[in-house]
Amino acid sequence: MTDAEAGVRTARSAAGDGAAPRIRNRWHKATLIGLHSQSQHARTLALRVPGWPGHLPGQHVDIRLTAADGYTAQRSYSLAEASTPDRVAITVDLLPHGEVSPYLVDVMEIGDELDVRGPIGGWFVWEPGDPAIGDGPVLLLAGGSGVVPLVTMLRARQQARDKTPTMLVYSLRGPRDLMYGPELQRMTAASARASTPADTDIRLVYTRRIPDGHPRPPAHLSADDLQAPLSWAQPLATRVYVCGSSGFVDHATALLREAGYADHQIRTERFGPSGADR
Amino acid sequence: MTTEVSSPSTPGDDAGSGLVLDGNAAAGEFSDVLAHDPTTVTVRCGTCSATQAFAQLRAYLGGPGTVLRCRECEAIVARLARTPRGTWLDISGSSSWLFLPRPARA
Repeated sequence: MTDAEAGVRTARSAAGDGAAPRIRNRWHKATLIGLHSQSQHARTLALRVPGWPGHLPGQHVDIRLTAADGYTAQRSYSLAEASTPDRVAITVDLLPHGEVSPYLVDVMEIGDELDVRGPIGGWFVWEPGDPAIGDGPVLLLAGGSGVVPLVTMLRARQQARDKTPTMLVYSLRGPRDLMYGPELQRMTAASARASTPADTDIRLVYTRRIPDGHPRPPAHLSADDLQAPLSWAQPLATRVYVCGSSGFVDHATALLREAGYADHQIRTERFGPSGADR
Repeated sequence: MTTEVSSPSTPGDDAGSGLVLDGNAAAGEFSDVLAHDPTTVTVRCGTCSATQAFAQLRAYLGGPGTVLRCRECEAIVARLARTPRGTWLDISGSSSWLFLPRPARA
C-alpha cells in the first residue's frame, strides 16, 4: 500500500498533536509557495501543506478562504499534481463573477495562507494498474477546466510508465482557453516518437474558435470526436472519465450511451461556481 | 466553461444556488461525519430503489446545507446541515448505504 492510499483512509495527526485523537479529514493550514500560468485566465498554485497525507490522481480538495471579519468561502478544486510529500497543487480557472477564483488567480501572493481539506473522493480516481480497468483502453473527456484532474491522471500514468492506451478528448471554446498547452503538445509528441503505436492520443475539440490550421471546424463535442483511435484494438474504452460543467457532463454522457457505453463504465465529475459560503 | 452550464429545473425547496453538481462536490462535507470515503458508497434511493454511487447523486450546494437527490427520480436521499448546535445528517430518504472495502492492490 502506498502512502497515498493510506492517506485516503485516515489523515494522520500532524506532528506535535501528541495524544490528540486522529481526525479523519481535518483542515490543513497551507502556504502558497509557487505560481505557474496555465492559460490567459488560469494558473496553478503550489501550496506547502505540512503533514499532507498524500493523494491519488483524480481526487480533489476543499479550499477555504477566511476574511478579516470571519466570513469564509469554500470551494472544491481538483489536485493538479501527482502526490508529493507536504505539497498540494491546484489549477484554478478564473470565473469572472466568482467570489473565490479571482482571489486565487489574480490576488493571492507567495507566502499567503489558506485552509485545505482533503484528499477527497476515491471514486473519480484512476490509478495506473487498477485491476478493474485491466489493459484498458481508457477515455478521458474534459470540458474546459475539467481537464485538470484528467491531466493529473495522465501525469501519474507517465510517471508510472503505464502503457494503458489512453485518449484525452478536450473540449474548449478557443485557443485562448487552452490549459496545459505545451505539456499536452509534449505528451502527443512523445507518443508519436515511441516505437510502439501511440498510446496517448489527444484530441482538441474547439467549440467556437479554432487556431490557424486546425483541421476540425468549431463545433460542440459530437459522436465522431469519441470514435476510438485506429491504434485501439476495440471500439470502446473499458472506462471513461468525464469532467466538466453539468451541461458538458450531461451532453457527453448522452453521447457515450448512444455509442454503446454502459453506465458502470462511465465515471463523471461535475464542477461549477457553486460552493458553500457561510 | 460556465456558459455551457444549462439551467436545470431546481425543485423549490432547495434554497441553494440552483446549480446542480454531483456527490463528488459534496464529499468534503460528508467526509467530516463518515468514517469512509463517501464517494464510493452505493446508495439506494428510498423512493424509487435505484442504486447509485454517492459520487453520482445530484448535489445542491451553497444553501444552508447540502442536499443530495436521486439521479433517477430526484427525490431527496440525504441532507447535511451545519447549525450552531451541531451538524445534522438526515438520510431518511435512502434505504441503504453499502460501504465497499477498498480493492486490494498488488
